Order: sequence, then C-alpha cells, then structure tokens
Amino acid sequence: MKRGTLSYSTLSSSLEAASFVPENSPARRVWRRFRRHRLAMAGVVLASLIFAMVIFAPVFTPNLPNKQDLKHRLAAPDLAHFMGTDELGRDVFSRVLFGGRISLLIGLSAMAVSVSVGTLIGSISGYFGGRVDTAIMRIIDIIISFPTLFLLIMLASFLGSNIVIVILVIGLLSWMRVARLVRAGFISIKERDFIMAARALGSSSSRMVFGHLLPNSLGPIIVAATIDVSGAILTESALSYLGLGIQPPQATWGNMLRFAQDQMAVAPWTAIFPGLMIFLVSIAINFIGDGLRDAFDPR
Amino acid sequence: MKHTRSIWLVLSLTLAAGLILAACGAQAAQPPAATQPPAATQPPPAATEAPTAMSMQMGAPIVIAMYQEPESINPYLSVQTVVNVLSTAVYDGLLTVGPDGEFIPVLATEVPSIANGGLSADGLTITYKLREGVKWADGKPFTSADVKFTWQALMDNSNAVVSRAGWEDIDTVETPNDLTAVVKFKKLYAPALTLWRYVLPAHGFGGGTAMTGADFNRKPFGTGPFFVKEWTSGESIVLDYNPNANPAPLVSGLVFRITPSREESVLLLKSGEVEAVWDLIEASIPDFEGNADATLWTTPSSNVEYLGLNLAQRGNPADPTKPHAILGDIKVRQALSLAIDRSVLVNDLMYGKSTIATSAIGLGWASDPTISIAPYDPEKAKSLLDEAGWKPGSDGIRMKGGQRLSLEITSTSGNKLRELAEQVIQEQLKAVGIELKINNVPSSTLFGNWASSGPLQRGNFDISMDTWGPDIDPNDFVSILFESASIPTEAGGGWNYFRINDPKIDAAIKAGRSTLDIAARKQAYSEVARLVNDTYAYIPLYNRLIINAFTNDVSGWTPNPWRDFTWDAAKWAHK
Amino acid sequence: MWSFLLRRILLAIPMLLAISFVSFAIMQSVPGGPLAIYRNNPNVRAADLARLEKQLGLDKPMVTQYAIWLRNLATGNWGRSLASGLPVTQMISERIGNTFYLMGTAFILTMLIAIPIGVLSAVKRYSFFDHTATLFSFLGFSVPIFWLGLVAIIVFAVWLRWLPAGGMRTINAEFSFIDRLRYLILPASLMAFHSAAQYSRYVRASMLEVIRQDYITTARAKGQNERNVIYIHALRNALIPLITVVALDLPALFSGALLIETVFAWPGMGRLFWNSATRFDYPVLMGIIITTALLVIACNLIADVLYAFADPRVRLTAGKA
Repeated sequence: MKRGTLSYSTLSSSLEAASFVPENSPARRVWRRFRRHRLAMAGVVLASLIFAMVIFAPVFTPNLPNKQDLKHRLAAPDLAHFMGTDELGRDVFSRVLFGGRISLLIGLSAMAVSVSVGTLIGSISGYFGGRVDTAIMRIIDIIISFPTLFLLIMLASFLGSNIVIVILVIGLLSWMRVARLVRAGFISIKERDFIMAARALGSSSSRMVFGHLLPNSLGPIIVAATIDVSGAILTESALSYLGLGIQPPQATWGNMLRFAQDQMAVAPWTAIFPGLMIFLVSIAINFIGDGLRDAFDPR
Repeated sequence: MKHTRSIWLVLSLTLAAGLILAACGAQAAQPPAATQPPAATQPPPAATEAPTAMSMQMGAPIVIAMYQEPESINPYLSVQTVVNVLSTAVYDGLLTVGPDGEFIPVLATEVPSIANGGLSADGLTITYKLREGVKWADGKPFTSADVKFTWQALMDNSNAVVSRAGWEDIDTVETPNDLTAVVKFKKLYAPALTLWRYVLPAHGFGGGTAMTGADFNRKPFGTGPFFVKEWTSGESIVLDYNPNANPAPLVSGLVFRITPSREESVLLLKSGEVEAVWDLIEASIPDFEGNADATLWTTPSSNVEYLGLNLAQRGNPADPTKPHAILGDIKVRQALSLAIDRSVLVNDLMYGKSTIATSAIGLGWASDPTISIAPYDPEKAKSLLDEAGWKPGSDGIRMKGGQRLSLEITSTSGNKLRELAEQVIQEQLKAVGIELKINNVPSSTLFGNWASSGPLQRGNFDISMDTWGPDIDPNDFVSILFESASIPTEAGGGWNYFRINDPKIDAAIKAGRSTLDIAARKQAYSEVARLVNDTYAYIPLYNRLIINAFTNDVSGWTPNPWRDFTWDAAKWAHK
Repeated sequence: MWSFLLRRILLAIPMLLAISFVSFAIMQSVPGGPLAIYRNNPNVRAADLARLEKQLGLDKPMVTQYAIWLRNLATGNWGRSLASGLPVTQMISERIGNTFYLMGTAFILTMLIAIPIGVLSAVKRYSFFDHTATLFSFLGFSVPIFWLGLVAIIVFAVWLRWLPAGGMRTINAEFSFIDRLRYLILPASLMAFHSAAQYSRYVRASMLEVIRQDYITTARAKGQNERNVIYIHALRNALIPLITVVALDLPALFSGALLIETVFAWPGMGRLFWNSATRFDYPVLMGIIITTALLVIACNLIADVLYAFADPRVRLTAGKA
C-alpha cells in the first residue's frame, strides 16, 4: 500500500522542514495567538461538538446502535431514522454516534502510542547523536522498507483483531515519522546558544532534555499528533475495508463504510454519513493542528 | 498572454507524458515472447485464423466478470473454483453431470454400467468406449492414450497435484485400442465415475508428464468449446472458439475480466462493460431488483451454511478425550439449534430466495428429503438450558457455577452475508440467554494446518460458521467431515473439527463406500445425515445459493449445481 | 562522494538481509499458511496435504527454507509461485509496468497541481484562494480514497457512462491512445487529487519559509520583477526539501497503491501483493518485499545525492542519516 493513501505521511514530512525557533515565551502567548486563529477556533468548536455528541450519544438518539429491525432494511432517511437504516434495519444515526466512540478512541489512542514511542526514540537519537543516531536511523529505514500493508496483514492475522490490537498496530506502524521530527528538532536546537549556555552551566542530561530540548520541540510534536489522529481513523477504515478491523456488531465509521460499499447505489445514506463524519473530524483536527503550528511558530 | 501559453505548454506536456507512459503500458501488457508455448502446443493456423464466413455467423465474444484470478488453468493443480470455471470451458471430461445429478457421456459414448458391460460386477474394472472423430483444438486426434496420460500425470511425483483421491486406487489404465480405455482399480472406489472430469492432452506437456510450472497451464487447449488465446495477468483471460469442437460454440469467444471484488464486477455490469457476473452473494439481490437490463439467477446448491460446534475441551490443541466446558452438554447444543429462527435468515436476509437447511446432504441422489430438524422454539430452548443448569444472570446472560454462557463464533472475515447472519444469530441467542461473541479471521488463518496453529485443526474455537457441501457422490465429503478417523491430530486426520466420534456414523459411512448398489448407498447416506443431525455438533442453517448475473442480451445458460458456471458454454449466445 | 556511495551501497546488503530474514520469519510464524486454501475441497485429504507440503518444500524448518531461498536468490533465481508455479520474476514484471504507468501519470499530475496551488497559497496567504485550497486539500486527505473512487465510478461510469468503471484498456481491441486515456482518467486523477492535497500543503509550508528569507528580500530590493522573485528564486529553493519527501514516497508509489488498484480493477503490483499475502504465497511475497526494499534504499540514496547537489551547504558523509 502506498503510504500516501493513508494520508498523513507527506504532510507531516513537511513539518521536518518547519523551523524550530527557540520559543521561551510563556504558554499564554501561544494560547493568545491560537485563539486569534479563526480556522483553529472553528476546528475547536467543530471537534467539541462531535466529541460531545459521541460521548453523550444516548442523549442525542433514542435508538440503540445494534437494535435490528429486519422488516425495515435499508430504509431511506425519515423522521424516525434521520440517517436511514442499514442492511439489518439498524439506525444509521445511532451507529454513527456510537461508532464514533470507537473511531475516536482508536484515533486518539493510536496517536498517543505513536507520539510517545516516536518521541522517546527520536529524543534518544537526537540527543546522543553519533553511532546511536546512525543505528536508530538505519533501523527506521529497515522498518519503512516493509510494505505497510504486509505488516498490517501479518500482524492482524497473527494477533487477531480487537480494539487494543488495532490501536497498537496502527500506533506502532506510525511512530517513525514522529521520531524523525523530534530528532530533527533536537539536532537543530542543540547547537543554539541557549542550549550551549545551559550545557556550559552544567545542566544534567535529564534537565537538558525535559527542561530545554523537549519543550522547544513541542510545536512539531503537537502538530504531528493532530495529524496522527485523523490518520489513524482512516487507517482503521482501510483495515476494515480489508476485512481486518473491529469485529461486528460493533460499529466504527470505517467498518460502516466497508459494509456500505456494495449498496452505495441503492442506499447511499449508509455510506455518506460515516464518510462525512471522518471528513468533519479530520478537518477539525487539521485546523487545530494548523492553528497550533502557527501559534508555536508565528512567523 | 505569456501565462496562458505556458498553461497550454504544461497541458500538452502532461498529455504527451501520459501517452508515452500509455505506450510503455501497452508494451508491458503484451505477453513476453519467451512465455509463448512451444510449437507443438500451439493451436494450428486453422484455429487462430478463423474462417471469415464462419466467424461472421458466430456471435461476438461474451464478456464475463470474475472476482478472482485463477492460479493456473490446470484443474488438477488447484482447488480454486475459478480454475474449474475456466477449465470447464476448455476441457471435456469422459462424463459430465447434468442439473438433476445424472451422468451424461461427453468424450465417452455411454455411461459405464453393469448392464452395458462397462462396469464389472465387483466394480473394480471400468471400460470406457470413446467417441470417434474427436479432435483437440490443435487438430490432433483424441485417443485412449490421452485418458491414460491424465492418470499418469496425476501420479507423477514431481507434480503438486492437489488431490489423488481415487486416482491412487487405480492399478492400471489399459488402452487396447484408440477408442477404448480400461481402468482397473486395486480396491473399490465408489465415486469412480467422477474421475476424469477433465481429460488433458498427452501432447500438451512437451511429451512428458511434468505439469507443475508448465506453460500449458497458462495457455491450455482441450476438446471443449474454447481454448485460451491470451492471459494478461491481473486483467483478463481471452478465450477463442475451438474450431474442432463438437458441438460448435455459438459465440466466437469468451472474455473473462478479472476484477478485485464482486462489488467491482457488479459495477462493470451496470456500466455496460461486462455481460455476465460469475458467483455473486445474496447481498447483491436488492441491487438487481428493478434492473431491467440484467437478471440475477439464483439456483440452489449442495452447499449448506452451518454452525460447527466443538465437542472437545477447547485448547491449543483441544483435548478430544474431555468434553467442551459448555458445548459438551448436548442439551446446550440442542437449545442453540432451537433458539435460531432460520426463517428470518432465509426470508429477510436472503430475500426469500433460499431455503432452510435440514441435512448435511441437501441435494442429489444421496439426499433424503424426509430428514427434518426441530423447528424454531425459543421456549423449549430456554427450558433445556434450565435443565442443563444454566440460570439467567443479572444481565440476562445465563450462568452456571460462576461461568457465563458465553461462546465465541469464528468465521472467515470479509464475507458480508455471513457477517450479517452472525449478527442476526447473535441477537436470537441473546434472547434465550446465550452470549455470542464474534471473532472472524482471514480464511487462510481459520483453515490453517496443525503446524501453523489453525484454530479449527487444533480445536481452538467454540463455534465456527462455514459452508460446505457434497459433490454428486457424497463419499469423500462425509468421510473427511464426520468420520472419527478424520478428527485432526498432529499426525494428520481430516476436517472433523467438531471432533464427532460416533461408531454408528463411522459404520454408516463405511457401508456407503463399500458397495456400488445405489439403493444401499442411499440408505447409508440417509443414515449418516440423520446421525449427524442428532449430534447437534453440526447445526444446518440454510442452503446456499448459486448466484450469477447475466444481461438480458445473453441466452442459453442453464444452471447446474453439480458443475461449474461454464458447463454449457457451447450453448451461450447473444440474443 | 564516491566513498560515501560505496559505503551506503555496502550498508544496503546487511539491511536487505535483515529485511528479508525478518519478513520470512514473520510470514512463517503467522497462523495459516499456503495450504489452508485446499481445505475447501473434500477430495484433498491429509495424505494429499502431507505430500504437497513435501513437494513444495514447506516441511523443512524455517531457517532451512530461508537458506534455500537466499541461495537461489544469489544465483538470480527468485523462485516460483507456490500457487501458479510461475517464476516470481515473470509475475512481478507482468505487473510492474502497469503500476509504473498509472503511478507515473498520477505523480506528474500531482506535481502539476500541487506546486502551483502550494505557491499561490503561500504568496496569497489567508486569501480566499488560500482558504479554498486549504479546504480542498483537507477534503483530499480526509476522505478515504476507496470511498471517493466508488462515488466517481457510480457517477461517471454507471450514471453518465462517460468513462469505464475499471481496467486499463478495452480488451480484444487494437491499441489506441484515446482508449488508454479513457481508462486512465479516473484512477490517475483521483490518485493525483489525493496526493496533491498533501503535497500542496507541503509546498505552501516551505514556500512560506523561503519567502521570508534574506536573499528573497535582497532580490526584491534589487528591483527584480516580483514574478521572477517568486517563481525563480523562491520556488527553486522551496523545492529542494521536496526531493526528500518525494524520495520517501516514490518507492511506496511504485510498489502499488492497493486501494486505488482495487477500486478500479487495475492490474498492478498492489493487487499482486494482496493476492499473494492472503494466499501466503511466500516466494512471490518475498520477491515483492525485496523489490520494494531495493527501491526504498535506492531512492533514499538518490535523494541524499541530489540534495547535496542542490544545496551546497549539505556535505555527504557516511554517517549522515
């Protein structure tokens, strides 16, 4: 599989080129700039709305997501089911809301996995440099040489497919980018004056990393993280498409799309609404990411 | 102005680049010269340079979409159905089987029987009289040597033949003359007449019997209505008509388009790019309702969708000497069967096109229509579970001694109909207090062998959902599925993953295969099917359909549950 | 320079060995296997399976099988498919051209869309154009490509019947450029839309960086034509880092895009890979993985060299990652 079809590799690579200006300004200044970013604020509103609807799903829908009604299969949207019903007569709106819990959980957790692993390995590589760095970078080369699809198929058939495994598989296949970003950040900051000064003053390694290097690389890490969220939701949908995602009857936006694909002509509502949700979440999260990048790097 | 000009420059450059790449693609699509079959296997000019007068009478080729690419077109080296679909259009057998399960002579002049002297009284000698004047697509005559060759090639140890069932029981194939083949068996093989379903040309493999990796497997010809003209990997297989075929086909060829999925095949039919779609599933039915241009043909098949319950203690590997913690109790298994409302599956999920399955052998001479299963009765299911000591817990799921009545159902992922049926069954079982968890895995994992920890082989499952059905002769099917010798072990065994160990079933299967007396065999298989139902380890759900779609421009196809899609391709025509 | 090249090429050998061994080990340890497919036939008995295992060499220990595979590879023999019996090299060469054709076209289109949009977005930052481009690019990478592909097929092939739903040419017809182009339009433009969405963001970001740098200001100050400043000086510098990104993405492009090939029934590498993976056809899988790994290593190396040529500040040392 082309990595690009999973949508985020190229974009985040661009962040490697983004500059790493030492910003000692307080978080408040960043927040002020973020708040003034209109698109980012729109993203925050949209994301909060979606999160609220998904978390408080029972408030918004009277129907249970797995309640079947085989007499009303593939019914068009109406007042009772305003996103229609699916092939087992289940309410699409409820499935979109409850499925969103899983999709968002996958998105956020896979991002947490990839960001923490990537940050750890990238910091080691960037901080120590030299042979350690070379070794880590070559290992990353080896890992990205495996077709992603191959690893996904093999891991999925090896481990089965429950939600924890899907999260781990997606997270563990996407940390390499974060690692490269963090490493690049460390290397560019390491030679700056204030780090030299801290080193000359005899700061300890951990103080260097946690006190100076990491905080100053936070911008690109946060941006990469926002991109990873939508990337993971999309990867789960690709996994579902290949028949390796979350097991039925649990809905996710990804597996709803997969089941809808052969009835798109007769019941387009089963495909449109979950697709729309993925789009809205991605757009909200990417707007926030854009805002954060601009807030951390105001030029 | 300068701006506009540069846009045009860019556009024409793109176009040019695209065309150059297109030309490269065109070259890549041509089969490399090295893979051309040797001259001996190449059909003569007569075949490739079609007589114009004749081709003008023949219809244009029929374009068919199929969602799989065959591994080769040698039916003895693969078990893929799609390989058989292609092979059936290319090769003839000595006999074929008609829609009602009757043998029909093709390359033989008659069906061997004791009455016509073709079959010896002990069943060990079969004499085939071959049709006169039959020619291969390359013009060479078909003789008894080809019949003998087919057996020899199957027994050649360098060939990765997928099954030698029956073939290895043959002692000799004698060819007293060009039109007679005498097959002598070492021991009785009841389904003997089903062998030689395809006869291969002795001169097709460069004089030897080595088949694995032979070029012929990719560009074969036979005595059937078509031969393979061109195979473009991943895209299409083009069949041309066989000028020597008798009867002659009504169209000048068949074009098989290889698609990645059934959905894509249906889209191609809707966009008018193909005229037939092979092997659809029930989920396509609503898609064709109200479609005036195409017809969806549904035919009952011998395949039965069933639940396979693990009788042995679940583990990796299972312990067949100990019963399954939950399913070891026949009352639970019975309750499971009673709690499933099959009419919902058949009428709603399959739009009333299918029927409720009552027996493992649902079609053909060996099936017994008097066999029935207990109808849907959730109340009885509940009382059986009560009797077995499973009492409803706080969340509605039954408990017994601190254990929840929770079972895992596993099947192949990516099969939409099955995944929907699983969810319906899940809800129905919940209503009587049984929790069913779905855990589907890729088919290569589910059916993996012992060494690679295949869950069915190892007995590491509770319930599996699968489909399987007998051939016209049910012997091999019942033996590999229900005989105690077929319980999988590290050393071998078959596919009795239910771990059914019933001496009465073993005896009935043995009775069925040790005679050629059809009445006695019928009775034996009826017995097998009844006894299997009584184990409640094999729970029949519904009969699977064979579903194919044709546009209304194509005519001539007759459904046949015993042979592949192309079995009567010679009769296909455009209206 | 030469010693750098030599060291990197030598370093590629242990990397390829590691990649091939790990792949082999993963494949062999996954439950299932190439013989699982034979299950769907009552005629294939335990005795047949045992014989097949032996004939295909699957009964040997994993390390032995790997050693045999490696030895054959060293003599240029990539093995034969377990499923079709065809040589792996033949199977790959039958498909790689088709992938090259689709992906090459899509790649050129991508660049032609992404660079102008990215540049304009950067030059007119926060303008109406920039916001529209942003919206479309988010659309491009947040909508699953298979979903978009299916919609495109239903609209353009089923409803309007303007373009074919799948395949790469009219079968049984004479070669024609127009015909080829008709089959190419949908998959190539969707692919391009999808990747351009990402590349344009990238170009925008690096363009924004460059525009603010001193030499651009200097060029402007020297009274250079604004268009020259943007398109000659700025763009050239902004595109330098693009090389790295493209180098990372190219190998993945040419090992095939499974989803787009699946939606449009394109006979490319992605589908060959998927079929072989689900069938556990070890020799074919190994062939494809090695080809991909070679492409990754080669592209990374070429990118490093090009980077050095384009940006004189970068020096090539063997230790550079």
